[in-house]
Amino acid sequence: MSDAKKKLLLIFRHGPYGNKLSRAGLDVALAAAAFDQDINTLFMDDGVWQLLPDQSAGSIDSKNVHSTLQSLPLYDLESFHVDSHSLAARRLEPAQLDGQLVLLEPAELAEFIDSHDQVLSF
Amino acid sequence: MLLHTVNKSPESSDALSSCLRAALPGALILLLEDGVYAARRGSPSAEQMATLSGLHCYALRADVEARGLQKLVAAEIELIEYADFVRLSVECHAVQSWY
Repeated sequence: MSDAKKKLLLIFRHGPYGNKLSRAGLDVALAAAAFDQDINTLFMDDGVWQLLPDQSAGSIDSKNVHSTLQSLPLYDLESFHVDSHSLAARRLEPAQLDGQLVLLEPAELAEFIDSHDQVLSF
Repeated sequence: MLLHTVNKSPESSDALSSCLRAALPGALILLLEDGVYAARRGSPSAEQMATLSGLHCYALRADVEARGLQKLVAAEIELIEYADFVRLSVECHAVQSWY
């Protein structure tokens, strides 16, 4: 095994509470960050809903995905990459979302994903 | 180069359309499970895949045959076996699954 750091991309494409994917992905993000890996996150399709503030998941007996996302900067995961096409399709403005966002235009999306060594999809 | 796998039908999910937005020219796209419905000759999804330059499109033969699609697959889409799936996974630097 090489000790070289690998660039890891976690793609979130599903909404926060319809399934367990979001939690699983966030667990991977926290674990990888604890091992000092080079991680990026990308939110696209319904995954962009995870970045909406004011989630109070206690009402459905779930843990708040948004609060976990807010803790990621503590692990040096400072920014969230967001697919601008997915925002537009949902009539969402970046200002409505929380966190430090890096918007990816359609022409940038493919290159961005391809620039990583490993891609995991949640 | 990335291998993209898609396992949802294009009519039920945006998995394929998002995949096509996120694939570089030259990327490999493998349709499997219900994703093979996108391989139908003349369907909007098959035509879209054919017009995007440089994509290599495959469908898993077992899933195509299981669904009775073997005579309906567009010419641009190559049917492959499980062993080919393994080989492509190894040859590409990463695999992204759209589901």
